[in-house]
Amino acid sequence: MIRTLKSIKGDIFLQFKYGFYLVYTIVTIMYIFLLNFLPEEALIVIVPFIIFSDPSVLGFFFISGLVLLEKGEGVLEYLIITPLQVKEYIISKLVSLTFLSLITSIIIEFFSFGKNINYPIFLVGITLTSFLFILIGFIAVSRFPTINKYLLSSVGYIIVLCLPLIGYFGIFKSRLFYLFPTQASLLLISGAFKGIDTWQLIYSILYLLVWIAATFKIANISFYKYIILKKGDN
Amino acid sequence: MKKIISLSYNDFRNVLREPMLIMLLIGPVAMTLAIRYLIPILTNLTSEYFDLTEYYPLIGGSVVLFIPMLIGMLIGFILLDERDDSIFLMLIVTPLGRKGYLIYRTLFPAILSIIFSVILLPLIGIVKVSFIEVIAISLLASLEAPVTALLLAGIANNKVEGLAISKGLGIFLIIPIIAYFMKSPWKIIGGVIPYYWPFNAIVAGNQGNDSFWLYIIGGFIVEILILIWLVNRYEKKAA
Repeated sequence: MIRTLKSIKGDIFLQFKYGFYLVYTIVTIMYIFLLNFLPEEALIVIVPFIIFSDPSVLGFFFISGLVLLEKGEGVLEYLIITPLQVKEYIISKLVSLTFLSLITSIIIEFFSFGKNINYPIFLVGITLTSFLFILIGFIAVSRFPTINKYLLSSVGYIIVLCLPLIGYFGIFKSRLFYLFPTQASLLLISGAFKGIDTWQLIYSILYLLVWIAATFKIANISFYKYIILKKGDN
Repeated sequence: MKKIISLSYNDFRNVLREPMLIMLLIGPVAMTLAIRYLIPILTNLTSEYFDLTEYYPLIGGSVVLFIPMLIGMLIGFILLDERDDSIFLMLIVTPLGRKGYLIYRTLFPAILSIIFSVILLPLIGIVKVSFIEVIAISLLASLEAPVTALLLAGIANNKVEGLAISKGLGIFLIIPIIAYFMKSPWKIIGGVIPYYWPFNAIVAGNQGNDSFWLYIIGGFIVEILILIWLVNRYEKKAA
């Protein structure tokens, strides 16, 4: 536990040094500035959308670089001879990146929407979404040796994962969207703004947890296989 | 049979190994077609609320920037990867040399960007500029490819910082759009951002405004200065 906490602290320090916090300060200011031009009726739809599409998934974007850099510098080879386990390494990345997601989301919400929303649901929604996307990133980065390949291949599954947005914007409604974990994310994040049914709340949290548990398992395996044992390296 | 399957698997992987090239070709074309066919539909859908045609120059300006930015980002990450993994050290000791390596890595994206812009810009169908203007804009915008690549590789110390910067580049794209809505003459401050110039050239050209050539010439001066600065920074970092 202490080991994991120390690792989280180290990760946050490094992410600060790499400029994540600086960039997200600017991005946040820009969002707040632009959202100021929108009327209130629009904000209740657009603010959850922005929180979902940017801060919640920022970890997915950054995890590739973090893992590939540590792999390239040989840090990961040293890591496996320390007591820090792969599991703890992944948890540390999950928590440190989600920390940035949460701060950014809270600030954007506070300065653009500003009214009281259901913060527990809001924070749970962002945390679970962020965890899931980072884990998907972990699985993907194990297979792709460069950032370009990671980013370009990710276009495919990001599009698939974002399909529930079609329902969110009311273009086309279907119960099939409930099969996507991102439908649960959208329900939670927007539910914090305009309310959510109890069954939706239970479905969303449970469904995301199932996905997180499954992807965590796969991330552990593929991380060990492709990054540590370096199978399939070219 | 097993051998054949494993060989076919390898072939398949070799094709997939360069998804980058495929994306590089498909990305801009897909976007051009999407804009050509989807924007008119969107215009009809939103016509009750506002007139989207007023914003066509803005959309056109963004497309012009999108192509060199996409290519530039890909090259920027290649530069960073090659530096992080010290591959470029092997390349600069070949007859290619240090200068040759950088020219090879930046000239190609610029030329690719010119070709794409010249072909795709008229195909978008929503901006009305003459052929000469298309050529001028494409040449200016193509400089954004090496500028973007070197913004990543010249400022970032490693690929992680490169990712952070690429996130920030989105803001660079928003600033010309904000400047467009500003009445104050101070909006020229936006000109320190390289993307400001080709964007405004499209907007001016679309309105048949004489300031078109001012944006083109101003853009060339600003972008070449920025490029020189970035090359120097890159060389220092790579030393």
